[in-house]
Amino acid sequence: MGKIKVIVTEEGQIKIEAKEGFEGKSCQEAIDFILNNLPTGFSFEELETIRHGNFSVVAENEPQAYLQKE
Amino acid sequence: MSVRQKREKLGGSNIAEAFSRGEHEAIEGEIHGASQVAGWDSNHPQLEGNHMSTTQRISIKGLKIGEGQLDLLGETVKELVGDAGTVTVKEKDSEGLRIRSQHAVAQNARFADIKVRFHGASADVGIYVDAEGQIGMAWDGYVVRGNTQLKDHFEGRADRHTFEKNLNAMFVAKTFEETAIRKGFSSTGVKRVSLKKEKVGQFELELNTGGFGGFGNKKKTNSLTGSLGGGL
Repeated sequence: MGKIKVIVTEEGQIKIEAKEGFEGKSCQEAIDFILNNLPTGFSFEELETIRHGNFSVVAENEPQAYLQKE
Repeated sequence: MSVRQKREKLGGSNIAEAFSRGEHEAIEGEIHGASQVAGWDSNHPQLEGNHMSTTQRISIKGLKIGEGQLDLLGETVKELVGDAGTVTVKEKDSEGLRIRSQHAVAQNARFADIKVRFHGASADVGIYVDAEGQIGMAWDGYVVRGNTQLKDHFEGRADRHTFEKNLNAMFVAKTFEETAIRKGFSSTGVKRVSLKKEKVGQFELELNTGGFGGFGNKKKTNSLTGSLGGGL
Protein backbone atom coordinates (compact mmCIF):
# COMPACT_ATOMS: atom_id res chain seq x y z
CA MET A 1 0.00 0.00 0.00
CA GLY A 2 1.40 3.37 -0.98
CA LYS A 3 0.34 6.97 -0.96
CA ILE A 4 0.90 9.33 -3.85
CA LYS A 5 0.31 13.06 -3.66
CA VAL A 6 -0.51 14.87 -6.89
CA ILE A 7 -0.33 18.66 -7.16
CA VAL A 8 -1.38 20.56 -10.27
CA THR A 9 -0.54 24.25 -10.30
CA GLU A 10 -2.31 27.02 -12.20
CA GLU A 11 0.66 27.16 -14.54
CA GLY A 12 0.12 23.58 -15.60
CA GLN A 13 2.94 22.04 -13.65
CA ILE A 14 2.14 18.62 -12.26
CA LYS A 15 4.04 17.44 -9.21
CA ILE A 16 3.76 13.85 -8.17
CA GLU A 17 5.13 12.89 -4.84
CA ALA A 18 5.42 9.37 -3.52
CA LYS A 19 4.53 9.88 0.13
CA GLU A 20 4.96 6.51 1.76
CA GLY A 21 4.74 2.78 1.45
CA PHE A 22 6.78 2.15 -1.68
CA GLU A 23 9.56 -0.34 -2.07
CA GLY A 24 12.12 -0.43 -4.83
CA LYS A 25 10.73 0.74 -8.12
CA SER A 26 7.12 0.42 -7.07
CA CYS A 27 6.58 4.18 -6.75
CA GLN A 28 7.68 4.73 -10.30
CA GLU A 29 5.55 1.83 -11.44
CA ALA A 30 2.50 3.26 -9.64
CA ILE A 31 2.92 6.64 -11.28
CA ASP A 32 3.59 5.03 -14.65
CA PHE A 33 0.49 2.97 -14.19
CA ILE A 34 -1.72 6.03 -13.73
CA LEU A 35 -0.13 7.95 -16.57
CA ASN A 36 -0.41 5.02 -18.94
CA ASN A 37 -4.09 4.57 -18.18
CA LEU A 38 -5.27 8.13 -18.67
CA PRO A 39 -8.31 8.33 -20.97
CA THR A 40 -7.72 7.93 -24.67
CA GLY A 41 -7.41 11.35 -26.23
CA PHE A 42 -6.56 13.14 -23.02
CA SER A 43 -3.14 14.68 -23.47
CA PHE A 44 -0.63 17.21 -22.39
CA GLU A 45 1.63 18.85 -24.88
CA GLU A 46 4.69 17.33 -23.27
CA LEU A 47 5.80 16.01 -19.94
CA GLU A 48 9.27 16.51 -18.63
CA THR A 49 10.69 14.65 -15.72
CA ILE A 50 12.50 17.10 -13.52
CA ARG A 51 13.25 14.71 -10.75
CA HIS A 52 12.35 11.21 -9.90
CA GLY A 53 13.06 9.61 -6.58
CA ASN A 54 12.55 6.33 -4.85
CA PHE A 55 10.98 6.41 -1.43
CA SER A 56 10.25 3.52 0.84
CA VAL A 57 9.59 5.33 4.09
CA VAL A 58 7.52 8.27 5.25
CA ALA A 59 9.68 11.29 4.65
CA GLU A 60 9.70 14.79 3.29
CA ASN A 61 10.91 14.19 -0.21
CA GLU A 62 11.59 16.26 -3.23
CA PRO A 63 8.49 16.06 -5.40
CA GLN A 64 8.65 14.81 -8.95
CA ALA A 65 7.57 17.58 -11.26
CA TYR A 66 6.03 17.07 -14.67
CA LEU A 67 5.98 20.24 -16.68
CA GLN A 68 3.13 20.82 -19.07
CA LYS A 69 4.97 22.83 -21.67
CA GLU A 70 3.41 25.80 -23.51
CA MET B 1 -36.62 46.30 -20.37
CA SER B 2 -38.36 47.14 -23.64
CA VAL B 3 -36.91 46.26 -27.03
CA ARG B 4 -36.26 49.94 -27.62
CA GLN B 5 -34.40 50.29 -24.34
CA LYS B 6 -32.45 47.14 -25.15
CA ARG B 7 -31.44 48.53 -28.52
CA GLU B 8 -30.40 51.78 -26.98
CA LYS B 9 -28.37 49.95 -24.38
CA LEU B 10 -26.63 47.73 -26.92
CA GLY B 11 -26.12 50.25 -29.66
CA GLY B 12 -26.10 53.50 -27.78
CA SER B 13 -23.72 55.27 -25.52
CA ASN B 14 -23.62 52.51 -22.88
CA ILE B 15 -21.15 50.50 -24.93
CA ALA B 16 -18.89 53.50 -25.30
CA GLU B 17 -19.17 54.08 -21.58
CA ALA B 18 -18.28 50.47 -20.91
CA PHE B 19 -15.19 50.80 -23.08
CA SER B 20 -14.16 53.91 -21.23
CA ARG B 21 -14.60 52.13 -17.92
CA GLY B 22 -12.31 49.40 -19.19
CA GLU B 23 -14.92 46.71 -18.78
CA HIS B 24 -14.65 45.47 -22.31
CA GLU B 25 -12.51 42.38 -22.68
CA ALA B 26 -14.22 40.75 -25.62
CA ILE B 27 -12.05 39.36 -28.34
CA GLU B 28 -11.84 41.87 -31.13
CA GLY B 29 -12.68 40.13 -34.36
CA GLU B 30 -13.04 41.38 -37.86
CA ILE B 31 -16.40 40.54 -39.26
CA HIS B 32 -16.56 39.94 -43.00
CA GLY B 33 -20.22 40.30 -43.75
CA ALA B 34 -23.38 39.55 -41.88
CA SER B 35 -23.17 35.80 -42.38
CA GLN B 36 -20.54 35.51 -39.65
CA VAL B 37 -22.54 37.58 -37.22
CA ALA B 38 -24.46 34.83 -35.59
CA GLY B 39 -26.16 36.89 -32.94
CA TRP B 40 -28.72 35.36 -30.63
CA ASP B 41 -31.08 38.27 -30.80
CA SER B 42 -32.68 39.26 -34.06
CA ASN B 43 -33.00 42.77 -32.70
CA HIS B 44 -29.28 42.96 -32.14
CA PRO B 45 -28.08 46.20 -33.76
CA GLN B 46 -25.53 46.01 -36.55
CA LEU B 47 -22.69 48.32 -35.64
CA GLU B 48 -21.09 50.18 -38.48
CA GLY B 49 -17.47 49.81 -39.57
CA ASN B 50 -15.20 46.91 -40.40
CA HIS B 51 -14.39 46.07 -36.81
CA MET B 52 -16.86 45.22 -34.16
CA SER B 53 -16.89 43.30 -30.95
CA THR B 54 -17.48 39.63 -31.28
CA THR B 55 -17.62 36.90 -28.71
CA GLN B 56 -15.51 34.13 -30.15
CA ARG B 57 -14.22 30.83 -28.93
CA ILE B 58 -10.53 30.30 -28.40
CA SER B 59 -8.69 27.19 -27.34
CA ILE B 60 -7.25 26.48 -23.95
CA LYS B 61 -3.79 25.54 -25.13
CA GLY B 62 -2.60 22.10 -24.37
CA LEU B 63 -5.77 20.73 -22.86
CA LYS B 64 -7.67 18.01 -24.63
CA ILE B 65 -10.31 15.88 -23.05
CA GLY B 66 -10.51 12.19 -23.65
CA GLU B 67 -13.36 10.02 -24.82
CA GLY B 68 -16.35 10.15 -22.51
CA GLN B 69 -14.96 12.96 -20.39
CA LEU B 70 -17.64 15.59 -21.04
CA ASP B 71 -19.43 14.67 -17.82
CA LEU B 72 -16.21 15.06 -15.86
CA LEU B 73 -15.59 18.41 -17.53
CA GLY B 74 -19.10 19.51 -16.57
CA GLU B 75 -18.56 18.37 -13.00
CA THR B 76 -15.25 20.25 -12.93
CA VAL B 77 -16.82 23.46 -14.20
CA LYS B 78 -19.67 23.20 -11.68
CA GLU B 79 -17.23 22.72 -8.84
CA LEU B 80 -14.99 25.54 -9.99
CA VAL B 81 -17.84 28.01 -10.48
CA GLY B 82 -19.44 27.03 -7.19
CA ASP B 83 -21.67 29.78 -5.80
CA ALA B 84 -20.45 32.29 -8.36
CA GLY B 85 -22.94 31.27 -11.03
CA THR B 86 -25.04 28.61 -12.72
CA VAL B 87 -23.63 25.86 -14.92
CA THR B 88 -25.62 23.95 -17.53
CA VAL B 89 -24.25 20.92 -19.39
CA LYS B 90 -25.85 19.95 -22.68
CA GLU B 91 -27.77 16.74 -23.05
CA LYS B 92 -25.94 13.99 -24.89
CA ASP B 93 -26.42 14.15 -28.66
CA SER B 94 -28.10 17.53 -28.47
CA GLU B 95 -27.04 20.43 -30.66
CA GLY B 96 -25.76 22.35 -27.69
CA LEU B 97 -26.72 25.29 -25.53
CA ARG B 98 -27.28 28.63 -27.23
CA ILE B 99 -25.24 31.28 -25.49
CA ARG B 100 -26.19 34.90 -24.98
CA SER B 101 -23.73 37.71 -25.24
CA GLN B 102 -23.75 41.47 -25.17
CA HIS B 103 -21.85 41.27 -28.43
CA ALA B 104 -22.41 39.36 -31.62
CA VAL B 105 -21.55 35.70 -31.24
CA ALA B 106 -19.22 34.10 -33.77
CA GLN B 107 -20.83 31.32 -35.72
CA ASN B 108 -18.63 28.61 -34.25
CA ALA B 109 -19.49 29.75 -30.74
CA ARG B 110 -23.28 29.84 -30.93
CA PHE B 111 -23.89 26.48 -29.32
CA ALA B 112 -21.85 25.48 -26.33
CA ASP B 113 -21.37 22.10 -24.68
CA ILE B 114 -21.36 23.78 -21.29
CA LYS B 115 -22.83 27.17 -20.45
CA VAL B 116 -21.98 29.29 -17.43
CA ARG B 117 -23.95 32.30 -16.27
CA PHE B 118 -22.13 34.13 -13.50
CA HIS B 119 -24.34 35.94 -11.02
CA GLY B 120 -24.89 39.55 -11.91
CA ALA B 121 -23.86 38.99 -15.54
CA SER B 122 -26.14 39.43 -18.53
CA ALA B 123 -24.06 37.22 -20.80
CA ASP B 124 -22.91 33.61 -20.82
CA VAL B 125 -19.58 31.88 -20.95
CA GLY B 126 -19.55 29.10 -23.50
CA ILE B 127 -17.32 26.06 -23.16
CA TYR B 128 -16.81 23.91 -26.24
CA VAL B 129 -15.25 20.56 -27.02
CA ASP B 130 -14.33 19.96 -30.64
CA ALA B 131 -14.11 16.61 -32.40
CA GLU B 132 -10.48 16.15 -31.35
CA GLY B 133 -11.26 16.90 -27.71
CA GLN B 134 -9.75 20.38 -27.72
CA ILE B 135 -11.47 22.62 -25.19
CA GLY B 136 -12.38 26.16 -26.17
CA MET B 137 -14.11 28.97 -24.38
CA ALA B 138 -15.98 32.08 -25.49
CA TRP B 139 -16.97 35.01 -23.37
CA ASP B 140 -16.76 38.71 -23.00
CA GLY B 141 -15.34 40.44 -19.99
CA TYR B 142 -18.65 41.58 -18.62
CA VAL B 143 -19.43 38.16 -17.27
CA VAL B 144 -16.76 37.91 -14.59
CA ARG B 145 -15.59 41.39 -13.75
CA GLY B 146 -16.79 42.38 -10.32
CA ASN B 147 -17.97 38.92 -9.35
CA THR B 148 -17.21 38.86 -5.64
CA GLN B 149 -17.53 35.09 -5.29
CA LEU B 150 -14.85 34.55 -7.92
CA LYS B 151 -12.63 37.16 -6.34
CA ASP B 152 -12.94 35.47 -2.98
CA HIS B 153 -12.19 32.11 -4.52
CA PHE B 154 -9.29 33.16 -6.76
CA GLU B 155 -7.23 35.31 -4.38
CA GLY B 156 -8.75 38.58 -5.53
CA ARG B 157 -8.71 37.75 -9.24
CA ALA B 158 -11.78 37.49 -11.44
CA ASP B 159 -10.39 37.63 -14.97
CA ARG B 160 -10.92 35.03 -17.63
CA HIS B 161 -7.29 33.91 -17.76
CA THR B 162 -7.40 32.98 -14.10
CA PHE B 163 -10.59 31.03 -14.65
CA GLU B 164 -9.13 29.19 -17.66
CA LYS B 165 -5.92 28.29 -15.86
CA ASN B 166 -7.86 26.99 -12.89
CA LEU B 167 -10.21 25.02 -15.10
CA ASN B 168 -7.24 23.50 -16.89
CA ALA B 169 -5.45 22.55 -13.67
CA MET B 170 -8.56 21.24 -11.92
CA PHE B 171 -9.53 19.12 -14.91
CA VAL B 172 -6.07 17.57 -15.07
CA ALA B 173 -6.23 16.80 -11.34
CA LYS B 174 -9.69 15.28 -11.67
CA THR B 175 -8.57 13.19 -14.63
CA PHE B 176 -5.71 11.79 -12.56
CA GLU B 177 -8.15 11.01 -9.79
CA GLU B 178 -10.73 9.40 -12.06
CA THR B 179 -8.06 7.27 -13.71
CA ALA B 180 -6.62 6.15 -10.40
CA ILE B 181 -10.03 5.24 -8.97
CA ARG B 182 -10.95 3.37 -12.16
CA LYS B 183 -7.79 1.30 -11.69
CA GLY B 184 -8.48 0.43 -8.07
CA PHE B 185 -6.89 3.25 -6.09
CA SER B 186 -8.75 5.41 -3.59
CA SER B 187 -8.61 9.19 -3.38
CA THR B 188 -8.96 11.84 -0.74
CA GLY B 189 -10.63 14.07 -3.33
CA VAL B 190 -9.36 17.04 -5.30
CA LYS B 191 -8.96 20.15 -3.19
CA ARG B 192 -8.00 23.65 -4.26
CA VAL B 193 -5.35 25.01 -1.94
CA SER B 194 -5.00 28.77 -1.93
CA LEU B 195 -1.45 30.10 -1.65
CA LYS B 196 -2.33 33.50 -0.21
CA LYS B 197 1.17 34.87 -0.27
CA GLU B 198 1.75 34.07 -3.93
CA LYS B 199 -1.88 34.92 -4.76
CA VAL B 200 -2.34 31.70 -6.74
CA GLY B 201 -3.94 28.37 -6.11
CA GLN B 202 -3.15 24.74 -6.81
CA PHE B 203 -5.10 21.51 -6.87
CA GLU B 204 -4.06 18.66 -4.66
CA LEU B 205 -5.15 15.08 -4.20
CA GLU B 206 -3.75 12.10 -2.41
CA LEU B 207 -4.07 8.64 -3.87
CA ASN B 208 -3.86 5.40 -1.97
CA THR B 209 -2.77 2.42 -4.03
CA GLY B 210 -4.44 0.00 -1.62
CA GLY B 211 -3.43 -3.60 -2.13
CA PHE B 212 -3.18 -3.18 -5.83
CA GLY B 213 0.08 -4.39 -7.30
CA GLY B 214 -0.56 -4.87 -10.97
CA PHE B 215 1.47 -1.92 -12.06
CA GLY B 216 3.29 -3.99 -14.62
CA ASN B 217 0.18 -4.45 -16.78
CA LYS B 218 0.70 -1.28 -18.71
CA LYS B 219 -1.66 -0.23 -21.40
CA LYS B 220 -0.57 2.72 -23.47
CA THR B 221 -3.72 4.73 -24.09
CA ASN B 222 -2.62 8.32 -24.33
CA SER B 223 -0.16 10.52 -26.12
CA LEU B 224 2.00 11.41 -23.15
CA THR B 225 5.63 11.73 -24.00
CA GLY B 226 8.75 11.93 -21.93
CA SER B 227 10.41 9.52 -19.61
CA LEU B 228 9.55 9.01 -16.01
CA GLY B 229 12.75 7.18 -15.43
CA GLY B 230 15.95 8.19 -13.79
CA GLY B 231 17.43 8.05 -10.38
CA LEU B 232 16.51 4.50 -9.53
